[in-house]
Amino acid sequence: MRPAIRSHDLSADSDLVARIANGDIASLGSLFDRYQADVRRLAARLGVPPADLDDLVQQTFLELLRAARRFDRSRPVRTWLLGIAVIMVRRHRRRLARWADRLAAWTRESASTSATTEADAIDTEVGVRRALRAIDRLSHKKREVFVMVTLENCSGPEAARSLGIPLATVWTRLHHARRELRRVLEDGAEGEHK
Amino acid sequence: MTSVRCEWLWQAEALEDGRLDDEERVAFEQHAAVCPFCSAEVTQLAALRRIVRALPYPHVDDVALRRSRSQLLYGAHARLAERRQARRWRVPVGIAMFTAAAGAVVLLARGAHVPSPAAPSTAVIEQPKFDVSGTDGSTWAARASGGTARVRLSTGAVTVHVEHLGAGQRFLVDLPDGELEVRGTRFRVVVTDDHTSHVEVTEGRVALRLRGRGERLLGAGQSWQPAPSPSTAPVEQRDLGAPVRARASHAHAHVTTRKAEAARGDPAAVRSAPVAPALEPRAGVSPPAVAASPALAPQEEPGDLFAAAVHAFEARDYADADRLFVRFALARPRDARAEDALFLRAVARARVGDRQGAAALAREYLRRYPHGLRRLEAERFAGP
Repeated sequence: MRPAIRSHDLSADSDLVARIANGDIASLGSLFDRYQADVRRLAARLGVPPADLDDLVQQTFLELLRAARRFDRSRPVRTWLLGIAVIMVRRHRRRLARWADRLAAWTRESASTSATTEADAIDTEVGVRRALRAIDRLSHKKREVFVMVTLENCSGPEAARSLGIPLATVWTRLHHARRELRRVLEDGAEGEHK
Repeated sequence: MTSVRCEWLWQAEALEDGRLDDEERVAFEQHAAVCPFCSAEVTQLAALRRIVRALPYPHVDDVALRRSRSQLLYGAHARLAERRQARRWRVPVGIAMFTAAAGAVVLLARGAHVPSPAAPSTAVIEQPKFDVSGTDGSTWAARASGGTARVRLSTGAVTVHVEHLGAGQRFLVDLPDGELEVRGTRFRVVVTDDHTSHVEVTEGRVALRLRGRGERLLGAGQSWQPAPSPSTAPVEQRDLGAPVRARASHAHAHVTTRKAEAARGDPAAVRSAPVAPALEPRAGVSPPAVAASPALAPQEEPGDLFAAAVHAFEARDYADADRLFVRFALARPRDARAEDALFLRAVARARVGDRQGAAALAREYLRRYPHGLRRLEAERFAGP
């Protein structure tokens, strides 16, 4: 016998997670409605290519079916969810790493042999493109902390818990990330590629 | 960043991070009011925050969002069903329909979340009542959640009967390349090689929505299938029992025509294709607007094409790699690897010294993937 299906729109986030832990798919849909944009934005800002964003959002929410049972109700659901998304991004990145290395190797060969070798066009970049590139060039660890704290407005302790790192490490990585970004944006120069 | 140090300067970042308690915060703010260095640091940190928060990121439209949500719930249901394992659900048999060509086989939908006819009616919206039968070899699954029931058809043919839907009820068939929504009807749909190849309605009406195309309504006696030619004839009314010969509209025929015409090397059909021509053995072929590589051979899978193209690239057979990447892009224009395929085509052109071709492909890459993974390298190829 199926239980009656009722609207979950007014339920608290933690109640939705509790229902998801009991296999309530409708609650999963409600949580998706509330936070899919946040997850998508975080994944995009962590460098997931647009073509892969849909899959990554799907994987994050599907992971809730397993992770919901271990959810600590004292935590904000949004931050917990973003932490899961970061884990999904890391898995995605590892899967692509080998392929990306191959592409990069081919590109370096091409740059050295092609008659179209150009001076670095980055010198002429301004505004949005420079900022995006600067964020792209942060190391993964700094980028995760920077995106969680500065872009997604998570507190330091929340980010530390979601990322599984000490709080002091969060502040350190955040400091270095800001320093690199400010060097790029204020001086118009590229930081070192990580 | 300021190069002059003030012993209070580190607190500017601590303030930004929320690490100062109330007493510390008040003390620092009083200091910053009279210290130009700390004041500037606070301002610059706040400016950095505003700049990066205003950066653009990909958005998704409502249709794609709705589809994404449906896929999520479908996937979640499948996962939960796997866990339950031993439980089976029977599709309710209201009115049986067995009209499949190879002989109908009623499949028990393992894990289908469909209630028996005696399901409680305490739900705000009851689930639709329907019956599905598939041919041998077809792959499909049915589920229902709230007032919406879905059948996901991966390959093969299914025949569906849906009892009249009430207010708030919906019945959809998820197809690899779109979806089909019904209004209490009887119909048959066939999927071949990840594409919807035939839809036939014997009662009622269905709305067929294929990716990248407008909605098409099919009524009783009507059928649809992709056209093998660039003909623009509309869907035809036909008598049941007659061979299906309906031709698709121009919009429906567009992508399918491009593949089929490419096989015959028809320049006209490929003129509008966004894919530049493959490398000829001689270098210096300019982009685009001539015949592309032939379509897939029956035994070829798009994934195999991509792997073969990469293999050819690694073997420095750039002409062959380019041709294979073109064929892959035609077969799977929305595949996630299409971005890599287009980028590697630009690299292949550069390797053989075709500067103009490489630049054109790189510009096409930047146009299609403005935030693509290889945009920095593509910008080098594209030039100023």
